[in-house]
Amino acid sequence: MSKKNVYDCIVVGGGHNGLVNAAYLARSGRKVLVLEKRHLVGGAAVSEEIYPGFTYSVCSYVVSLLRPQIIRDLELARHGLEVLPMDCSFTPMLDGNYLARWSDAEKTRREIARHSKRDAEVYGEFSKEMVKISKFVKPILEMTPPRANEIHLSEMKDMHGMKTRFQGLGADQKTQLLKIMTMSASEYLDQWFETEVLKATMAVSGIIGTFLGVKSPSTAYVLLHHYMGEIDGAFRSWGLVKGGMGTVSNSIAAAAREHGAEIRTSTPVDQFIIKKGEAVGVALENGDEIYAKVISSGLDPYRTFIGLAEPEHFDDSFLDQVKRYKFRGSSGKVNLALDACPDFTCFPGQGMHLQGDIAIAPSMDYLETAYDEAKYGDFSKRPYLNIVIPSLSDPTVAPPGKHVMSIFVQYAPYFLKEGTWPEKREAFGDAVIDTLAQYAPNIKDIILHRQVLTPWDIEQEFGMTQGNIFHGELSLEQLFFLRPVPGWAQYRTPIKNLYLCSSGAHPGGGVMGAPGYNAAQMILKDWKGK
Amino acid sequence: MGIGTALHNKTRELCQSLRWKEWAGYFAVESYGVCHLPEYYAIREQAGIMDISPLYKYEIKGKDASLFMNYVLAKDVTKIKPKQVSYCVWCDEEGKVIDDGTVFCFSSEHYRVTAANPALRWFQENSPGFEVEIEDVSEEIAAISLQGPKSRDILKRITSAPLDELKYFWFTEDKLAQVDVLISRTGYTGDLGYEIWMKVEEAEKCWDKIMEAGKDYGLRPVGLMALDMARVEAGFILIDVDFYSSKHTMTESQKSFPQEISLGWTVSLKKPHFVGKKAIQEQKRQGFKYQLVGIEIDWDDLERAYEEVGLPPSLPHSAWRCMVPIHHKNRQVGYASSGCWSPNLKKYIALATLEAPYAKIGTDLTMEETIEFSRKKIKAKVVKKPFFNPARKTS
Amino acid sequence: MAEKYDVAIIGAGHNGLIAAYYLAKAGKKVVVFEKKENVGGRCVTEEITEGFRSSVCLDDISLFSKKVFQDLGLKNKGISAATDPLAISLLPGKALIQWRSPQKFAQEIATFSEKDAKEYPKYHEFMDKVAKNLGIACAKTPPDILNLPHSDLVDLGKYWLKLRKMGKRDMLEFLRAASMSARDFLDEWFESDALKGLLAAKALMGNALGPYSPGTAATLFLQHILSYHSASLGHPQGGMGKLSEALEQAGQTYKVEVRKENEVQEILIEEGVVKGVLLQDGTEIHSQVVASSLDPKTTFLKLCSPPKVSLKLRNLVKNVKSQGVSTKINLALKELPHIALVQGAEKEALLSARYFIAPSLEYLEKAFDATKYGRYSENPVIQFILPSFIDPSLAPKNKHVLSITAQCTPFRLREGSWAEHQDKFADIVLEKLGVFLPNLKDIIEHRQVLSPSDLEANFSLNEGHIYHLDHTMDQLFLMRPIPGSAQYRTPLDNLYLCGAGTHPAGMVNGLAGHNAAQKILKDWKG
Repeated sequence: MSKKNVYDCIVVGGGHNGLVNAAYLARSGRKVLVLEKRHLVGGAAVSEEIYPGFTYSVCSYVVSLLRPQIIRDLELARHGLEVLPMDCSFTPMLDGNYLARWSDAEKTRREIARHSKRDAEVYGEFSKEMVKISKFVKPILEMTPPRANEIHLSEMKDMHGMKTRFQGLGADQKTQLLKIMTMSASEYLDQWFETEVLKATMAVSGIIGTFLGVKSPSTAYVLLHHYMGEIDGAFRSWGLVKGGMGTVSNSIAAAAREHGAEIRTSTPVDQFIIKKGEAVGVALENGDEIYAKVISSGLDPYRTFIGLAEPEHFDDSFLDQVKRYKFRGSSGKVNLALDACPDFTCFPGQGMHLQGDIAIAPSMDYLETAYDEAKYGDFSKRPYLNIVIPSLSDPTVAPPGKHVMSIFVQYAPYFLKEGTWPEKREAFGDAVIDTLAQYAPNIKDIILHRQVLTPWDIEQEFGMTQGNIFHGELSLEQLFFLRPVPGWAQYRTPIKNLYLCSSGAHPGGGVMGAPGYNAAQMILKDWKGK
Repeated sequence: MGIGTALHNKTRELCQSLRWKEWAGYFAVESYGVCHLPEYYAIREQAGIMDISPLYKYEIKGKDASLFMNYVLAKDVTKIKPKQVSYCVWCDEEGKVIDDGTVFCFSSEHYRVTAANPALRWFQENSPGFEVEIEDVSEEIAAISLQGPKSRDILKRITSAPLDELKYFWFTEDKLAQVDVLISRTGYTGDLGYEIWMKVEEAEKCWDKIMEAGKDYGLRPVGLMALDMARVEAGFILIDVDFYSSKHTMTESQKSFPQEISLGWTVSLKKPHFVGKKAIQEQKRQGFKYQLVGIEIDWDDLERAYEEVGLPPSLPHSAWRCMVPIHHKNRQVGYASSGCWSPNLKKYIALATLEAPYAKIGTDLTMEETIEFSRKKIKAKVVKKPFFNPARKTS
Repeated sequence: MAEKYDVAIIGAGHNGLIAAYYLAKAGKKVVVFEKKENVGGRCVTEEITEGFRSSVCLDDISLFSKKVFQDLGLKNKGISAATDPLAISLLPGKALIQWRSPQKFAQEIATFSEKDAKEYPKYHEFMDKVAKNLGIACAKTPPDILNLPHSDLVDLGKYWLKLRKMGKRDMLEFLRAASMSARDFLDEWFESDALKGLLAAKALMGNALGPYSPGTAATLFLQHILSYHSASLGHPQGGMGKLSEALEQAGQTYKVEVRKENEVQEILIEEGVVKGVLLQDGTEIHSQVVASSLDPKTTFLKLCSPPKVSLKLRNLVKNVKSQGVSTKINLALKELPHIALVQGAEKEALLSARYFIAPSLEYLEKAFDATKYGRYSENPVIQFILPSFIDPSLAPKNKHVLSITAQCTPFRLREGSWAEHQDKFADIVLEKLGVFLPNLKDIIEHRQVLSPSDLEANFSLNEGHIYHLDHTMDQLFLMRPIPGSAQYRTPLDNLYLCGAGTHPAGMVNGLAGHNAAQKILKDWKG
């Protein structure tokens, strides 16, 4: 142990939020150290060659809401980030029909009109309405939440700003906003559309990563996320990343390093060193101790407060709240190396329809049934699947003519009523492949390698409690000033100089980078006061 | 990306320029020839033929059809007689324009509406309480527009319809090329002209017949570029160019009351309740903020501005569609939204939305013009619209 | 010349009558129109078969507002104080008895879970604290969230201060819990399925909601708040109709005119302004104000001519969730049924309680699952009471009536109609009950089954919803029935809502009528 090793800030966990946090701190001149347990940075945003010649985006698989400001500030394009557009959103159906939504508006309109003329007409109006509401919501995503129980002067200003903006909305948008915050995706979409498959393929964005069904209240809100990108000036913020999701992490890491941050992989942290209620450093698993003025945790709240600190440092009520914070991972992942391209019965061939995301979500009932199966503690036998074939757009991830397929699967509840995940892993993988085979029968014959990640595996491998990909459910009671613990939504923690910069803080999960960015701002603000 | 209309095979053969544009999801010809000016002159001097099938068309039928139309449209529909066509707007509940279109009255129980944007849902949602059926016939009915001074002579050769008696904005039903057609004396050129409506399956037959009959009259197929010049001369406004549908705007300020886009004449505040009436009435009390007018740009001043940088005056050959600031003294008081050099009038004209106090005829203004990399202010004046209004249009 | 009144009220349900009372008391000339031959709406006592009478629709007034009860002087009208216990949950081989006293209830809970027995008094105390501080919000017009006038901001500020009074911890706890699911909320407190099932069943009755749905914890709060401020009433002597008669009588003191068998056909609107009502017989009645105690869908979509209501309003109302999921079954019994689990010295008291079959949250959720697919549940959630045990006059001597409410039975069935299915469903319910009431099948003289479809037809309830609208997050408080119209005043000038579809809730509490009347009077002054 050497006392000399003093940093301004240690970031625990080299996931994308930890890296964003580190990069911003380093950029403003702090001496920063990032400690990552695994052999590579990225957390859930990694590319790994699990099967020779094939690169999997093992966990997360598309960028959706990565803040444009972060891309600009950290010059991520210069550091290697290339986002490949997804041209189509394809939903096959079992009756031989399908729905394809294209980046071309007229083509999409005609395609929807094939199912319903009325819906085709509404589709454009709906998008406009969503963008209008997003304009109100987006600044909330970017702000540090107020404390709610007491109101500070500067927060009054924020709250007042929110009120003014709210009043700036038309009566229609106000009503829509109130409704969308509380309703289910299903009810909300029912008000606009009549085509089942259209509603279903739109509704899924409301349930990804939550343990709720499309008919559960409060799932409508996430529909907005899809339209946030448009106000950033990007047409569609959805995209694949060249070289896999690891490129996102690596480019942020490169930016951080360029600003002087030090990143150590294969360096697991054992616990925080806390003296008199103040975080002063971390103890590594190998026994080393490293000291710093500020510790920032990129881990989820449970791992941060229960895993790396002794309970004596918190009052019972705080710990109690952390324990009650809900994770309940509900999704799994199947990665495939394929010998050829899958062929869908309803839309044969290797066309443009495969160069985007493919959703197995033929109807609202289908999705709700998948939820009903899972909510009593079993995985869905006919789950919702979100599939991408990155190799169709990015030749660097598979040998020529061969493909990688990434399948996001919901629902797979962390808590099983019977049996354990290691016992059920392959049965779960089979259910996914069987489901897909109903739509693309050749799939079974072209699989070269299959990797199945259950929520349990995600917890083991990526250190996300209960396998929740968003570091805690994105349910209303765990959002905004309530995330992760009411009264502690400002990235600060009950331990002085310990901050939370992960998706477990406002505004939550997804490869967005906002918590990492917001936490960095808070750390720097507090620094000034020192 | 578009698809072809019922007349795509015909227009494709003729379109030498390969200049296509998208219109309501269909391919539409911008100009058949490499230069569009002959097509413009065809409209004004001889005759031009156009495929206008992409228009949206709806049939409104039922006992309450007249009541219903009177409820959704701002105009007093009860005054439209059978066989008459009327230009109408419809507004949302805030009185802001959703779309404009023409209404064909077959009887008080049967109307047909043409629209620039889809309107099926809007009509349907407003229909509860009325005994009406609303049917989207956009894909069943094709339409050919025949415009220009010779259009009547051409039609007379191939149909026995009483065209001499057919007045401006009336229609008749007859046969053409053994096909049942509806011929309306309407158009978007401000000239003598007809629009011929038929089932999509029979559209090609009609097209061929008209083309053949037009040979001796200098009939030409015309594209959207020529049409755009003609409609500016005629002072006709275009949705998504001169104004926006309230359904497709992002902000409140992009929406317009009918009176603010020079369509006050299509609003009847005397008739019983219609959608948007209350809001329009209220705004009328407060006064409308804007007016859409015609302006003429001072050619001498334009020439002077070009001369200053040592250039001869030059203007685009086709109509432009973009927002150009208009000033009064040093304050911006509005914007021009489309304009063109009128080959016929030899004037530089534009349609502009101005703050109401500056919209009086004769008001002196300036319009921005970019000349050799820098923005200049060119003198302009509010003038009467239509700019071009030949007697043959209505005679 | 049309007759003229200050206020015309549509529907003589309890809220209509209560609104009429307050308005008339303030000097307004009030008329109430009722389609049926008796007043009461959902609160009626009707004959189910010769000699047997029952509260055929709703049978619970335990949440009836204390304030309204006192204001209208209902004390001496034969409406009794509530029984103790409040509720009994029937479980295999065991019953969970909810006594009025939380301590006594805790003792019962102890036989299920020692841990929960310790927690329950704390839970009760927390809920009481919320109820005490937020009760005021139920007896007032909610703020207008769309316009937020200054006075409403002041109200919101007051509520926030009230919340703060609870202390930082409890305040944050409440804010967090308000949007949670009943399951997540109850799981944090308790481990016993029986206890959680009973608490959730009481709060969720009548709603198309399962306890796993986010926002359902709010129904627990709502139920507790209303109960805390209630007059603690039990099933009235003479059935629910007795309450309605008492309300009618109270109004007579101030010359409220109730016209029975006088159905309103249409609300008269001229250019967005309500002028009165048109009766079925063609009579026009003019009034300054029309107040409708019917549900919002019936009011706006059936009683108003569509072109006279803006499309926006029509769409908002159309999309309101109002699918009824309850079926009412009224039985005429030859003798007192034997409830296997009810024995001993306290039998008398126990038999006058309200019974539930809702053994766990999972059971409730599974019953609800069927609704989502337009099917009725094969394992319904059931509650019942024995009104004739409390008031023997309801049935011939030694005979009894059993009043059962069962769910989930969605109004919109995907396959078949309720006329085809209701007997099958009733059989399922009786089968379930037979487990606990072994002699039930043998003693039924007559059964009356009222499916959601019958409830719609008989009680003017749109889609048969016994509380008019679901108690979901987006349909409570300042969003009930729709944002911007939660102030009883509607977008149509001079038209007010005063029924169960408005704040605070649909359960029989009388506050909607009370609040609406206050709002009408306040606006009158302005």
